[in-house]
Amino acid sequence: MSRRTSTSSGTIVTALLVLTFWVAAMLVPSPIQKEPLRVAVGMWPAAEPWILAREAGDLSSVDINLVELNWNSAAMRAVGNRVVDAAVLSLDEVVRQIHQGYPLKIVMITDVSRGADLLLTRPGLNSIAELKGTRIGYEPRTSGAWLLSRALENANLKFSEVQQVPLNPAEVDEIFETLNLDGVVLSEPWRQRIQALNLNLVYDSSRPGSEIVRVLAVHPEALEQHRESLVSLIKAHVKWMPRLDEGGELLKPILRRESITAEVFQSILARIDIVDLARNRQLLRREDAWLGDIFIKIQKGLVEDTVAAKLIDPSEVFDPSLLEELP
Amino acid sequence: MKRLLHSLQFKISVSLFLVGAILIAINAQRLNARAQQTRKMAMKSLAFSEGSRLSGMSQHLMRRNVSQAADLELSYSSTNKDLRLGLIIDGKNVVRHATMQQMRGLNLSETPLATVNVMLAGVREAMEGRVEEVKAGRCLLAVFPFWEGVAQGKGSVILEYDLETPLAAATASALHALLSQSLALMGGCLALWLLLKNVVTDRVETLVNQVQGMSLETEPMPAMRGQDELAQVSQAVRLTHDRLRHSEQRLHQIAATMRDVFWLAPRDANNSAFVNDAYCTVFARDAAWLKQDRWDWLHAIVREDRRRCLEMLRTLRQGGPRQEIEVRVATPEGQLRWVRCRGFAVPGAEDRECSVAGVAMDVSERKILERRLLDTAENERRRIGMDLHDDLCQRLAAALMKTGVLQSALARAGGSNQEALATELAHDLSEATGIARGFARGLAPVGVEALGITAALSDLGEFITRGFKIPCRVECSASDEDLTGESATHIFRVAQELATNAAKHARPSWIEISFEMTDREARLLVTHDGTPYRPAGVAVEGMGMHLVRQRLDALGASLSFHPPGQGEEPVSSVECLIPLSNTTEPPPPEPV
Repeated sequence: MSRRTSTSSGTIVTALLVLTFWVAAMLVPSPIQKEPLRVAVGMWPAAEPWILAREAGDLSSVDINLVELNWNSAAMRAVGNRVVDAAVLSLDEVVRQIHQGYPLKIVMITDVSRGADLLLTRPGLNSIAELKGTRIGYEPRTSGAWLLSRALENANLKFSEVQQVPLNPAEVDEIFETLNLDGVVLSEPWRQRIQALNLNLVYDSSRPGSEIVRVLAVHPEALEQHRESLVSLIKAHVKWMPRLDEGGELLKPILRRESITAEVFQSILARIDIVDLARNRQLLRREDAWLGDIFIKIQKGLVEDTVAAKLIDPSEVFDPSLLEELP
Repeated sequence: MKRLLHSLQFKISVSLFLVGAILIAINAQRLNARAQQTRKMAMKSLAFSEGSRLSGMSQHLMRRNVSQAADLELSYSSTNKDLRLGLIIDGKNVVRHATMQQMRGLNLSETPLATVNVMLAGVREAMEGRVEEVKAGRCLLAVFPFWEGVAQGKGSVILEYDLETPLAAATASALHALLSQSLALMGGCLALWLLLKNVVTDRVETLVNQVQGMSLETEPMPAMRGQDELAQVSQAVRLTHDRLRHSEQRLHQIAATMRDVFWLAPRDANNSAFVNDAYCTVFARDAAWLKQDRWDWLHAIVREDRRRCLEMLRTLRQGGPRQEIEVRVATPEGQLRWVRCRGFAVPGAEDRECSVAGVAMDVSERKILERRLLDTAENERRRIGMDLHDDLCQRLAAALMKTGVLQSALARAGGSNQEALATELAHDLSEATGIARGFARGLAPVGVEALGITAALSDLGEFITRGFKIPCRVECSASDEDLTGESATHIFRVAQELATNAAKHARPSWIEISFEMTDREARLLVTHDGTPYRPAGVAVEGMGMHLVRQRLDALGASLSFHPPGQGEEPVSSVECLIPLSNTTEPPPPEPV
C-alpha cells in the first residue's frame, strides 16, 4: 500500500513536471531585439552636450541613437510618429504636439532661451510696427511661430496682418532673396549663417514673456521601454553641459557641426540659461510654479490652428521621475 | 537503480530524448544559419536601396545647391539603428553631409570610414554602387557614386551598417527556438516516461509476477484486462497455467495410482528428483529424503548393484539409448527385492547433459518364480540324469554283458558267422552306454556338489572333447570351498551352455574353459577360435541363452562377449563376471 502511495506521488510529481516544462516552453519569452533610444537633436547649443558625450564614448550607439534633425518641424513629426523616441523641443512645440493628440512627457528642461531666438528684418525695417503687411518667413507650428506671435502681440499687430511665409531656418541663406522676404524668425546658430544679408534684429526671446523653454520630450512608451537609457541621456547632459564653457579642442566637433567660431558659440551660450539638475527637479516637481504657469500660458496663447479646447494640467505632462533617479 | 537503467521505460525515454535533442540541435543550427543569412540578405537589400536612393537624391539636390534637404534625408536614414555612420562626400573626398554632422568638412581619411578608399576607387571607376561585407559578420559597407554638380565630380554616398547586432538577434531567435523546443522535448519525454510506466513497465511487472507465480499448487493469478498485446499475453499465460495445472493433476493422479516407481532426475543438480508415491513402497525409503539428498535412493540398492545403476545414469545423462537393468533393493527389514529399472534420456533445450527419467518396477515375484523354475528344471535334469544312469545305463550294461555271453556262446558253437555280428553289437552297446553315461553326467552333474566345480568343469571338457570331437581344455584356479552348491551349479550350467553353444554353432578347432576366482569376484571365460557369437536382442535369444541370463541374474553376474578385433587373432571369448558375497564396499557414487 505504501509503495502504491509513493508511486502515485511520483506520478503526480512527474505529471506536474510535464506540465511545467510544457507551460515553460509556451511562455519562454521571445528574444526582443534591443532597440536603441532614438533621440532627435537639432542644431541648438543646448543639445550639443550629447554630441560631446557621444564623441567621448559616454553614450553608446547601441543604447542611444542620436538622430540629427536640423528642422524642428521634422523632429516634431518624428517624435509624434514614434520615428524617434525623444526630441529636444520647445515648450510651445510640446503643447502643440499634445493638442494634436501625441501624448508627450517632459522629463527634463535643457535650457531657457533668452535672446538666442530672434526676429530679423531686412535693412530699412527697424521695428515690429513696420512689419504690417510684410512677408515674414518662419517655420510653422514651431517656436518660431510662437516668437513671432509674441512679437506681433507686443506691437499690437495680429498674426494675419503679416504675410506668413513657411520656411526652414536651415534654408534661409539660400532662399531669403528668392522668396523676397522682409523678415525671418530664426534661432541660433542659423543667424550666423546669414550675416551676409545684414538683417536687423527687431525682437528676440530676451523680451519679458517671450523666453523660450526647451525641453526633452519623450514618448510615453519610450519612457517605459528606455528608462535606463533616458537616465543615461540626462546624466550625460548634466555632465557635459557645463563643459561647453571650456572651449578649446573639446568644442571643435561642435563648432564644425554648427559652422561657427568659438567666440560666436560663447556669445550664443551667453543668451541661453542653463537649467541645472536642482532647478530641473524644482520646476518639474512644480515646487516652483514658473514653468507650469508658462505651460498654461502657452496653451492659452496658441494662435494658430490649434484649438485649446481643454487645458492640460502640467502635472499630466511633467515627469520628474527620471530626475529622481539621478544622484 | 540498476533495474531502472535496464528498463524499456528508461531506454525508450532516454533514446527519444537523445534523438530529439540531436534533431533540435541540428534544427537550431540550421535555423540560426538561415536566420543569419536572411538577416544579411535583408541588410544588404536595405543598404542597396538606401545607397541608391541617397546617391540619386544627392546628385539631384547638390546640383540644385539645396544641400539642407540632403541633411534631412540623412537624418531620416540615421533613424535606422543599424546604420553606424552615413557620409555624402564630394569628388575631393570632403564630407558634405553626415549622419554625425560634426564630420562635415572633414576629409574622408579623417573619418572612421577612411578604410573604404580601395572600395571607393573601384566604385568610382565603374560608377556602379556596391554593397560588401567588409568584416565577416561585423560590418556591411555600401558605397554608391553620383555625379556631383555641374563639374561632374564623382561624389559618393557611404553607409556603414552594423551586422553584429542583427546577427546576434538572429542567433538569439535560434536559441529561443532551441530553448522552447528543448523544454517541450523534456516535457514530452517525461510524458512518455509516465505513459510507458503505466502502459508497459507496471503491466510487464504484473505479467512477470503472474508467470513467476505459475505454481501448480496455487490458484492462477487473474489475467490483465484489455485487448492490447500485453493483456493478450497475460490472458494466454492464465490459460496455459490452467491447462498445465489440469495436466499436472492428471499426471499426479496417474503417478499416485501406479504400483511402479516413476522417477525424473532433472539435469540441474540443485533440483531434487521427482518420484511418485510408489517409491516409498518399492525402495522402502521416504521420498522426502530425496529433497535433502538426491542420491538417497542409492542407499537402498545393494552395494554390488550400485555401480551398474551409476553407469546407466551416466550413459543416459550423455544422451545414450534407453537402458534397462535389474538391481536388488535391500529393505530395512533385511529383505532383498528385485527391481527392474528402465531409463531414458530427456534432452534439454541446450546441447548439454540430459535429464533422466524412467520407471522402476518390483520384479521380485517374477524372480522368485524364475528361481523356482530353474530349481525345478535342475531337479528335473537331475532326475532324468539319474534315471539315465540308474536305469538306462544299467540296462545297457546288462545288455552288454548278455551280448558278451552271447558272443562266447556263439564262439563255442563255432561254424557260425553270427559271432562277428555279436561282436559289433557289443561294441555298439558299449558306445551307447558311454553316451548315456555322458548325458546322465550332463544332466546330473553330481560332481559339482560332490567333487566341486573344478572336477565338474574337467568332466565337461572331457564331454565336449569326446562328444563333439573338439579339443576342449579346462583351466580352473578356483577354490571349491568358496562356492556354495547353488552358485557352483549355476556357474557350471552357464559354462556348459556357453561351451556347448560354441561347439555346436561356432565350428571351432579348439575350445578353452577358464574359471578363476578372487576375493571379490569369480571370472568364467569361454574362448574358442570359431565364428564369433553375435548377441541378438534379449527378446530373440534362444532358450539356452535365456536360461543363462536367468542364472546370471540369480548370481548377480554380468555377461560380455568379446569378438576378435580387426586384424587380431580370430579368437572369440565370452566373459562372465560373478560378484562374490564378501565383496567390499564400492567407492561412493560419482555425480551423474
